[in-house]
Amino acid sequence: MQKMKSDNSMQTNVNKPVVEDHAISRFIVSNRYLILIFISVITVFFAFQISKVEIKTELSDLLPQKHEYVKLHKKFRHIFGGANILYIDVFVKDGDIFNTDTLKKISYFTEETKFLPGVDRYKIFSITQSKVKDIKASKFGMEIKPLIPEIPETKEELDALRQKVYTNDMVYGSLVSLDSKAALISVQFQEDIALDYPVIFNKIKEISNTIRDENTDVAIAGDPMVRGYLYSYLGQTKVIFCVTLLAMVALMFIYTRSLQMVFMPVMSGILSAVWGLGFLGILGYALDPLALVVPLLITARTLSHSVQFNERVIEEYAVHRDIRAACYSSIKALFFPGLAGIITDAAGIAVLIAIPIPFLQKLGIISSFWALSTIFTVLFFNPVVLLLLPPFIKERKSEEGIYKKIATKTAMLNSGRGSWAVLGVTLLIAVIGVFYASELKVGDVNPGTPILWSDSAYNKDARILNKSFLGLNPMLIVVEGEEKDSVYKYDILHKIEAYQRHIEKLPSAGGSISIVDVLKKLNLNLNKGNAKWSFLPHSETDIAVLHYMFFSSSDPGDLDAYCTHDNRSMSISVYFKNHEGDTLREAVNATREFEKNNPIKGAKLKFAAGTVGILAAANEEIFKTQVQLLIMSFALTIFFCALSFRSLLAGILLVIPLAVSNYLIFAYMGLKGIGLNINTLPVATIAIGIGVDYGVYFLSRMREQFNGDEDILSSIHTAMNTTGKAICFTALTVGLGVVFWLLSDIKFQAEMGLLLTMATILHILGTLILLPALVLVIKPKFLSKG
Amino acid sequence: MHKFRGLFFVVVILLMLGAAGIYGSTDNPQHESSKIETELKGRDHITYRDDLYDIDFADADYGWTIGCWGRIFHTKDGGKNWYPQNSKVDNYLYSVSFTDRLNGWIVGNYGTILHTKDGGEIWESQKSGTEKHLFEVEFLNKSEGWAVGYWGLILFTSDGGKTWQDKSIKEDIAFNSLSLLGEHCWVVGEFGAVYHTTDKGEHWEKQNSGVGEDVSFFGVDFSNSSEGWAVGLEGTVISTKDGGKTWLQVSDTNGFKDSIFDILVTDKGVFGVGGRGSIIEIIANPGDGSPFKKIVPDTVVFSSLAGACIAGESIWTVGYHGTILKFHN
Repeated sequence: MQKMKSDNSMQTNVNKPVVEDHAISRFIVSNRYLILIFISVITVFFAFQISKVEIKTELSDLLPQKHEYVKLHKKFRHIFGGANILYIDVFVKDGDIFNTDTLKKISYFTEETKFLPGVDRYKIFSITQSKVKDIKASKFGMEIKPLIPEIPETKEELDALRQKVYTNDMVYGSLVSLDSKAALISVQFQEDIALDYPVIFNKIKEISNTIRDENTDVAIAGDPMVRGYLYSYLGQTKVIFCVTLLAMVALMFIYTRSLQMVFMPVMSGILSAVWGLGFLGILGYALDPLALVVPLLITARTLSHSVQFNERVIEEYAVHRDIRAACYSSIKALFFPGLAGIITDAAGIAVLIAIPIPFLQKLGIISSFWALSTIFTVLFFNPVVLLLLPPFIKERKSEEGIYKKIATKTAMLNSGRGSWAVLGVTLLIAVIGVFYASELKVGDVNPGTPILWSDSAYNKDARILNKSFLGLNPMLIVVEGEEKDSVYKYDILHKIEAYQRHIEKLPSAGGSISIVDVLKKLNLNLNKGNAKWSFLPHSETDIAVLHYMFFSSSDPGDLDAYCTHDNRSMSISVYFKNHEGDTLREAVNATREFEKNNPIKGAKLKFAAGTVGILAAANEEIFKTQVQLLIMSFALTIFFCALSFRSLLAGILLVIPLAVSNYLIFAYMGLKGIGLNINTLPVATIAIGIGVDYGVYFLSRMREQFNGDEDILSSIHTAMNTTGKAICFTALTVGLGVVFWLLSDIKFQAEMGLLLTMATILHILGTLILLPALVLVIKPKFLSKG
Repeated sequence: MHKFRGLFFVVVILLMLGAAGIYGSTDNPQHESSKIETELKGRDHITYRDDLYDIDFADADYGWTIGCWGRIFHTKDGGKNWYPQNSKVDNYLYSVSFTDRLNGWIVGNYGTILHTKDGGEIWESQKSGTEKHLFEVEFLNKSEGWAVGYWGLILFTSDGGKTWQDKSIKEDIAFNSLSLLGEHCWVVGEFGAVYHTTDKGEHWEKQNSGVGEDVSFFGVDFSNSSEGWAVGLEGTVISTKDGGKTWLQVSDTNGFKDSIFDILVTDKGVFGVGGRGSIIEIIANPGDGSPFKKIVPDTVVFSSLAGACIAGESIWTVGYHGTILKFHN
């Protein structure tokens, strides 16, 4: 075992002349005032742009705009129905809803929803709405009337209503639960404007409270409600955010015991934040509450770069005893590694732009810019501040603290044959990781929303709703006829009916409805309610007659949900019990298979619109691009690292720990039931790419020491004690940030916080244990290069 | 001092690990699938979407029920298990008649006639010679059978369905039901129509049902050549004790207003099934217009009941949404 050379080698340097001339160092030191002014001016410029930033959710940004499902959805959503639907369940504990009191409450709630901002008044469905009809056969032919023209008062009227509902396929099970204890009000909102979610949320809560009593309760679900909850928790999110930042700062203070040393990283963090948010303002993007975890991560990275620099300065100061010289050598040592690290980080984030979902692309653009700003706010700014406001640097005695002991033990892991053992263990872990990573699912894994805790008010409500009603997640299939009167053609309608029977076989499908169901019901009632007449007539004339009968007794727009005004296109709505990734995939595959096996001229099934359709589209996009993203991420990382070390091997070595961490993170997500969706994907992507700068700093320090006549093992020790310490400290800082997010009411934030900690820890371990092992075993040549 | 610092960091690390551990056990999302338990969801292969129109049993164990979209279901164990049979058609099947465990016929819309000689393992289409809807079929034995339907359609076969003779009444009346007894055959339908023949349909005698033209009859059954019942729209019940020469309408129906789609004369009583899950028993003598009582089964159903039959000791009825009910009296 070799004797560790640490302080000895440092002291010998004192006798050497001051470090050789370094272009960047010279530039920064000479132009410190100019740089300060430049950065200040830009910061002020960005600061003014921040006022333009709003916190809101642009729904259309969440959809892959070019995907065929989304295009279909946008083409027909105004007629057949969209995906931004609120579901309100009014239910009773004892008895059923068929009493005057409860019916009045349902009616009241239904009417009140018409005044919600952004609501589409023509797409509100409830048993008390006049567009919900009762069709009856009588001696005189057919009568089509609103199901509930007036709230029934007497027992006979209530009984009659009950019977009407039970025999109405289009209401029983969908607008009234099968046990008659619950009634559904479904409210659609416009999709092309940004909704005022807090107002909607509060109004709905207010109305609910008005009608609640000992026997009546309300459960509400649907995307507008999820967003409403998110916005209601925004205050809490901001608090956690601030507490986290303060904790990070406090930690730094405890560590450095110098206000000035804390001031600089914080300043850098704030500057980057101003630049980032200002850029956001210039581009006119909005800040989505669910994306708030990302800025925190980037800020932590900024702090880390700053801390690395300061640590190095302290170290150099101990040698040169002159702040200028200390800065000079620190810049020389760290500028290019830092630059490489930052650019690689930014590149790893920028890969998000490759996914054709605007939300992710915008996040990619802003975040990579924010990350790149570190070049100025740390690499240039930090030394400038140190030069202009020289800190009082306390003597740091070489400590035999716990860190040093751990560091030594860790380094020892790699001594002798240790490095082979490390590699072996890593390979084993990697294999396990890859195996479990196959558990990772694209899309949601559980019913309800994954953004909130499963015992949250929202998810509890969602479960209540799902138990009572056949299926609340609609998938819309459109049959775009080629001719104007396609709606009367038997072949087309017959195919629609066949499709409905086919798709309803899926266990996750609760039911379906189309114009065929309306026609069958009309036919039945036209023929004295004789059950045997509930079929689709074969002749076009008969079908046209049914249409005519309906239109002559109904209001305009009553058939909108089923066919277009020009009688060309028809819709089929299939209701699914949840929107889990597996359900969506099954639905789409079953539809695709049916269309392939049943091609009928002029009756092509176009899919899929509605909530299920657009979610499936987003999932498909993510699924398609996740592999590409990974490859791009790794390729860019290898490229930039290879560039900075001028060795391809260096690039590859640095990526290996990243690859292992990546699989472990995916394995974790798979096992924990965290699906890869539009919210988790950016975090997972960024988390993977962002750890490479640890490795870059560590390797370049090792190279420095190695060229200064140390052998590999002691280079590792030195690097561990210097760079390694700073790395660990950053990890602790990021980790401390997580603890508070776990208290958030938003499960998504807690999960992402945990994911980021895991990623950070894995990266640290990778850098401090795996990387040295790889170097020891491979003994790459680039270590000797200057 | 540095000892304190070191300790501090250890604490932070423990905090983080602890947090991870807590998180691991807090959120256990439930993998509940939302199951809707209701008597309306059928069993086995019979689903909510399968509207059933008729049922027939060869004996207490072997039975068949049929419905929309060419669905045929068969039971060999008195209804404990039903499994599907392949009709090879998409048409709506309205009526089934089995003379024994092997020989059966089914009719449906657009002139569909199906036949089996092996209890339904294989069903073959028979040529009806028409595209009109056939609403009911009944066979006396393996060779002789009748089918009635839309536009006055009446078909008769004496060779087990290989060929069908057109015995239609040339009127625009939909015939919904028929009843056979020996050489007698009664058919009933729209506009209060009741027709009777004793010579295999060569001559039809129109009988006076005594109801208005706005009433359709959906079911008819005779217990012997004199006593019989016919039922129809909005609770209409008529009966006769002279073979249909005169019919009397039940006047006091206790406010019962649902349509009755099938009627069954058995030694246990006379039963009708109909709209909104109604099952009624007629406790009167034919021909004297007495009232009936309504039975509501224990499993309350609200689906229309379209067909009924007797098998052994039980009465079976089927209807919308895959409803199959069995009751004793």
